[in-house]
Amino acid sequence: MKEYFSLIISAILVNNFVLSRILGICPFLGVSRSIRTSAGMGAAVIFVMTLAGLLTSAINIFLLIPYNIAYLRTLVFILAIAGLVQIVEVLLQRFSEPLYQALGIYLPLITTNCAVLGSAIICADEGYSLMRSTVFCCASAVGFALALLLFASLRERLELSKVPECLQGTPISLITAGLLAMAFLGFAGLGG
Amino acid sequence: MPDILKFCLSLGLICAISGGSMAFVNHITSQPRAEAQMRERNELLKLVLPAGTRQCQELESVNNVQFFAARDENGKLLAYAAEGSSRQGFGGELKVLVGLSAEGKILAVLVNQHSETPGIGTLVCERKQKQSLWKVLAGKSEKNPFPANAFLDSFASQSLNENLRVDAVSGATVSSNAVLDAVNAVAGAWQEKFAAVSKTEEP
Amino acid sequence: MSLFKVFKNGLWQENPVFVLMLGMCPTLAVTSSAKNALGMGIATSLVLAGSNFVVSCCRKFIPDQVRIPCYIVIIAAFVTMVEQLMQAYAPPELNQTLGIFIPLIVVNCIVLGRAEAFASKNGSIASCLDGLGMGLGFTIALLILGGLRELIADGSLFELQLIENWQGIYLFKTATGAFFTLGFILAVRNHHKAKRRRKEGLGYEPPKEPICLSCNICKLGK
Repeated sequence: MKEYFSLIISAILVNNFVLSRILGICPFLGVSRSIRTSAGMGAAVIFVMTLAGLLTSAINIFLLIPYNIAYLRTLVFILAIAGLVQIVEVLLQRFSEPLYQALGIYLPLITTNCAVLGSAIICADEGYSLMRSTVFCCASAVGFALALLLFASLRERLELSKVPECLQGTPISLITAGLLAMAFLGFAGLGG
Repeated sequence: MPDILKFCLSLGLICAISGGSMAFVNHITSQPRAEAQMRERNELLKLVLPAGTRQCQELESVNNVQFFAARDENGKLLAYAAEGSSRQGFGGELKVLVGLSAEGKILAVLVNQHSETPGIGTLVCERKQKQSLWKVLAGKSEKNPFPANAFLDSFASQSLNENLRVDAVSGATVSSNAVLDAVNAVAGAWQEKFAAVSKTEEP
Repeated sequence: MSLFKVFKNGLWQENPVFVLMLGMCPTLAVTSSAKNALGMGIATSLVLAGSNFVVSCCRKFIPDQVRIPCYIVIIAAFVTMVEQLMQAYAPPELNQTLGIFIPLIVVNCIVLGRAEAFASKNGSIASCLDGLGMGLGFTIALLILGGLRELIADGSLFELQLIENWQGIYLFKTATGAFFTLGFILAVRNHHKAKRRRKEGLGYEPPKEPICLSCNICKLGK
């Protein structure tokens, strides 16, 4: 139990996917214009990444390693994630209209989100068990959603403030993200 | 229906060709990859082992500590090396490589994998010598393969059979303790398995 | 468009990092030193040139509806091959620091974006050159970022000390430094653009928000 606790704390705060490992920057910068959209994106990422973690580590443990074809890892993982996203989209549309309304438009963006593939590869590299990979992927996605929400609320404030001409747009967003990353440096050493 | 068939066929064909080419590259690089890995490990081992070492032999691992035996050209046992790890660092796993004399005295310590904070944790982990560009251009630079690191060097010539005594570097206490923890893991494994054996084993 | 123009296009006019804002993750993550930046740039260039060439060769046989999965498979194959070649022949510490970012080239929007935007419409030689040009542009951008960060953090370039007795601002080796450096580089670019527009008598135009949506992949969701 203690082991999982430290894994979760480490994945959410210490080795935050966006602010420490620098994975999933595209949606982090692209979908953080407002808190509403970023909450939707965060929820979609948590949902898909947890499922993807379970699926890819199952493939890795029961298929790739026993048959000694670990070199196909990248290809199989990306196809599995793309397929998973498609299936989730169809299922949501069929069975849960409100959920599809909330998450649907974010799902296709997730396939090429490097955080999802990145978490799958980290799990395979570290040789995590099925349970551990699922927990790790879920916690990492929560960390991603947390960073996204924090950043979106900062950017909403930023819209209202006067920014020097040359810093307007992307530069000030990047510098804000840098400050956020600096704040997260404070968590280093927690629960390692 | 034929459309679906066409899609599946083209996707399947591309998958098959890609898979085949990956298998091919995997096959032709498997030997060089294994060699590169061996070479890297041997080069690191050479740094912590005495100069006369000609061959390194992998021994069994005890409590996740991997031991190596170093022999000279006549096959005489010169020293041991061991790789221990700790999870108490700032950023995940930290691995140390320790050179040991046959009596269990530490010859040299090297951190071969870490993700500590740059500038703080790296003070106690890295043996890096920065060559000056100007000296390199003038041809006056000498490359030192094993630069000094005050903290790592303070382990040298202590015995694994006693308690290790080192002073943590202030400001990098967590990283220092992680290194100490990893070396202690080596010491524990050494005491468990080797201490008794090394005295009786033929030289 | 002449072949040379195709090649030159990616270097500055459509520089994938500074202008198109593509491939942000590797750009920020592996540029802690000039050496890592160069390694990543070369690996990405190889994948770009190879996958562009093959995609362009196969463009006539691939049905439109399944083209994206096909491109992903081709790219993944190239990435895996480059990864294995690097493990065999590249310096070991490079492999250790680049780590998972080599397999993640698969989801780098530059590679898929160029396959979709250029290689699926043009000849194989032009596509290969476009991939090389884009790759070189990406490498140059990474080198600028990595060089600056290494210089500020360690006072060195390619591990050769440039500034003696540099105290070191190690923050620039962390994620914070990555965001700051890229932010300030883009600010300098914006400043130059605004100055040029003023000289031409045009008013100030706030910079567009390009961000990854400029790559075609994300539009698939729309």
